Amino acid sequence: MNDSFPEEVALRTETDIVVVRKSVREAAIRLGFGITDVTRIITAASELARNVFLYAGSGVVRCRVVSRSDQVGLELIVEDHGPGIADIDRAMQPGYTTGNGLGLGLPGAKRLMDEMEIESEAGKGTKITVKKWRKGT
Amino acid sequence: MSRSTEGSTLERSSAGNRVSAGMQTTAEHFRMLVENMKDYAIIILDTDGRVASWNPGSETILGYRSNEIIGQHFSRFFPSDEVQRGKPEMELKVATTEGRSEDEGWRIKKDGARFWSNEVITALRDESGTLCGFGKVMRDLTERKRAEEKATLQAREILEISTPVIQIWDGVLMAPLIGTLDSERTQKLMEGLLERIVQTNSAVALLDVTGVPTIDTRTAQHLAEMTTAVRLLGAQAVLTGVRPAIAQTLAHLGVDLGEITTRSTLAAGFRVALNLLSLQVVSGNGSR
Amino acid sequence: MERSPARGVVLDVSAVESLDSFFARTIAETTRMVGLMGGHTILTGMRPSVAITITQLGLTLGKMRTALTVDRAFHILRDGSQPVQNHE
Repeated sequence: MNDSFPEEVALRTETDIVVVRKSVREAAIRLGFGITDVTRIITAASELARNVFLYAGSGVVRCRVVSRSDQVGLELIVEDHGPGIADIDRAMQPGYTTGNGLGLGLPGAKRLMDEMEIESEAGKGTKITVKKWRKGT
Repeated sequence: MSRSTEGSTLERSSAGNRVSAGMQTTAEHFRMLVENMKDYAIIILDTDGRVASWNPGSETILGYRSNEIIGQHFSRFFPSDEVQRGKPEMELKVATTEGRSEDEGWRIKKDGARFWSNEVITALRDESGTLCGFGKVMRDLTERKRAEEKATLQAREILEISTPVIQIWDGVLMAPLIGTLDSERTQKLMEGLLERIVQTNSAVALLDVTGVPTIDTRTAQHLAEMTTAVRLLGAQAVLTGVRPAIAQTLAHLGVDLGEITTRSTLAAGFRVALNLLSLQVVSGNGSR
Repeated sequence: MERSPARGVVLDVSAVESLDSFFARTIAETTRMVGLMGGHTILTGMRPSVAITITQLGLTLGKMRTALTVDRAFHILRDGSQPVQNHE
């Protein structure tokens, strides 16, 4: 499982989102994802990183290669120590937002990726893990 | 040498066979062959179709020991629907009139499991031509059958997955959708279609669903996604081959096709496409 | 736009490799502003991978006008409010 090249990007300013997009893009291309999947992964990373910036102010994005029986994939872990998500079910509904976003971030990122896991505790922070498996071969 | 009369009869019947004296008789060779043919079930049936002899290969393939099966009717090797259709009797009848009957099909083992059997049944007649039974040889070709089925399935999947995108006019593409539209196919089709739209600079894409048997909510969503993505590129998708039944299903499912242009036939869709193209040429006004 | 007699804005996104909901909102706001000034905004050159991704993300860009190429976008802008007749 740990055949990874962990890449970690600290999210402090808005421009760090660009850095996240760039490093995730490189990792996805290196893993051999097709152009549309690369775009999906970058977009999901961008949505999640934007959420951290909007709601928690700062955080960290980690990116690594994961594998299971006969497939490899990319895992992104987006973690912050912000206020946490009070109602995860509601946060997963398209159009729901507590900030000034479009409310597409979480449900949208889930649709773009294959798996999503949210751990959140009020006042402690949020950790979102998403995975995308490479199709074929 | 205590050569039996039976043996000498058989030896005579295989005249020209160069079996040297002192070696075993042809009948014994034959018996050994039958006993050692583990991959073949070699069964002798009486004139009514009851098992009269059972080799070890039969036990391997069908699972019955000879003392369990001798005297039983061979129809028990057939699936019940085949028995009802009179298949076992038919085989005997064909073998009686034609001399032999060849077949492939699912047969049933003792434990109820199916196996794919390639089999020949031959009428056995004595010197005077009187029918004295049948010889049945069966082979278990389940693995080959499964491999064939898998290959057929794969071929069909490949055909279904790789939906062609055809340029039918300058500026008009057409994708004939066939079979069920699952997520994976939709993704592949969408990628292919969008790439072609850009490559050929086509303003209209006709998505023909004539070959799609039923459209469920998910398929409808996929189609809606496809139309949206096409529109984002600056082109327009027209859904054609939308039969009244499908239109009703869509309405019933609560799918809003208000944003999607639909036509019942490909020809009608093509006229829409030409209309859209001429509008662009004449007025440059892409709005509807 | 203020100093030209333009009737609108052509947004060429052919160089954009990924487009998230934040960027989409920026586009929507631009369109609204241009609209307030009496012009049209036409989005052009979107890459297939981007179109697929933002559709899946849940963005439709509403009534935003789109064109396959910059040429066609200008064509639409130039003739958009004209009566139907042949312009070349």
